[in-house]
Amino acid sequence: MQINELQAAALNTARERFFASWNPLHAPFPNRLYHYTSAAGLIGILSSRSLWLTDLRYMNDMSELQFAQQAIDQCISDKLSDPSLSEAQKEFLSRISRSYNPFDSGAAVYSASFCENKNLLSQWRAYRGQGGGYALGFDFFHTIRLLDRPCFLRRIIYGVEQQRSIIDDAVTNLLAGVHDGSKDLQLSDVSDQFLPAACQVFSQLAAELLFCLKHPDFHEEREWRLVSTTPQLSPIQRELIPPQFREFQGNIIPYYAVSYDRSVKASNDDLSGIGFPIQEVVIGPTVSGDLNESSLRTLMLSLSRDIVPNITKSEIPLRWL
Amino acid sequence: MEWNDAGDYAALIGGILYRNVKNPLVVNGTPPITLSRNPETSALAVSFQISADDENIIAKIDRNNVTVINENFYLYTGQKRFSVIRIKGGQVVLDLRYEIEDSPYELELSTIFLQDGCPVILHPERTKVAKTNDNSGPNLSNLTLTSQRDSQGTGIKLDRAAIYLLGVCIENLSNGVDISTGEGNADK
Repeated sequence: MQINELQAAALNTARERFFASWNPLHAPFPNRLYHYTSAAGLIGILSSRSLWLTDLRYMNDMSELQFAQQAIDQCISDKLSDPSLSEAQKEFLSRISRSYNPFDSGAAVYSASFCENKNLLSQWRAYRGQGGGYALGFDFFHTIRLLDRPCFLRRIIYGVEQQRSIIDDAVTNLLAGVHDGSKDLQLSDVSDQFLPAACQVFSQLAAELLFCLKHPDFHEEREWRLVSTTPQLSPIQRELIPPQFREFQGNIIPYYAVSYDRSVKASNDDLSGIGFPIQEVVIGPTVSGDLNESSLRTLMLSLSRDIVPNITKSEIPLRWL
Repeated sequence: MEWNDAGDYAALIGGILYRNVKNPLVVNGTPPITLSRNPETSALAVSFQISADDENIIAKIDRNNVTVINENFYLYTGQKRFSVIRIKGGQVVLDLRYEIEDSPYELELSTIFLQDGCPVILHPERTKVAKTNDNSGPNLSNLTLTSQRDSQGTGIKLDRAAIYLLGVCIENLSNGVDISTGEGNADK
């Protein structure tokens, strides 16, 4: 799609303004983030030195994507009633109200969830049926730049007012960009190229919002997501590495295994100055805490002999589950 | 406002847990690391200076505030944390976490420096002196060296010797690890 320099600059400014206020919400990230998993998941993560990032569309709870979509839809709807909008701005809003879904435009988002809280009853309950859970405390400060796939951390936003404000900013910035890029032009002049480009920018911003907004009832999780984005596989992009697949309750789930092996190797090098990426493992309420602590210690020492595994146990009584 | 001595404290330095040790590290009679306490916030702070192999100063840390002087290094900051990193190669020559909550220690420091050709490695997980990546096990591990409060003793004294310490705690002594370097420092 060809748009002129002025239009490109207008959209770029809108994108930069969004990220100027968006990025500080996600930095700095906590020094320790906990990934809850089952015993099988823990063995897999430690043995393979990798984390599985799952296609966001297939993550456990589809209603959370719908929650974010509804919030975005509401904002667009509210903006449409503004009588001061230009024709181009109205057309832009109309188009994105029909479809801004980034997953429809070829993007795929993969993520794994982490919590700031290492002793969440709701998480332990989730793994009760699998014999008990574990929380792996990762230190991403240096590890994130040593992963074998570009990833970034995003904080989940729970406050409704803050969510509204963020979405409003995104839409307002782009409306300003559409205004600047369509000044002194007819709607027909911008309809075929500039407006589709503006819609695409909004899809990119919406991709950020869709996986970062959650219902306030979940706020105790204080969740973060390790995210990797990629274009969806197609016959055209030959160089893309395809995801792997696993089965869950009859569903075929795409995922990417992101390796933190470089971080483990760096921690074993005395001169790197980099510590072991997993700083703590919390054993959830379980009947065999002591036995599991012993095997877990052996498993961690198999990754590095030069650490003192920091293994703790949840103090939540098993009967509370 | 005058800063106070650290007093009662707990800090992880080079993987060693120091509790109430006036000078965690002494090198050739001088403690390179100073701990003090903010009189307003009571936060534990560290001051010291990192030098490169050629003795040019890389960075100065003054009560948890860092200034990177050497243009071959950059500062990377996080949540009450910063690292000084070599641009070429990514070596982390300093990593400091401070005002740590919900932890057995308030401050965590790791750094690497050369003293008279002797590597002093205060790694995040372990302390090594005059030993680097030689795949040997620790000389001391899972050990607590303790004494009564305000004892004037030294935990571990090295005279032109090498050591690897893992999972060590030193508490209530005047000096933690006291290193004398000099010519011919080698694995003894």
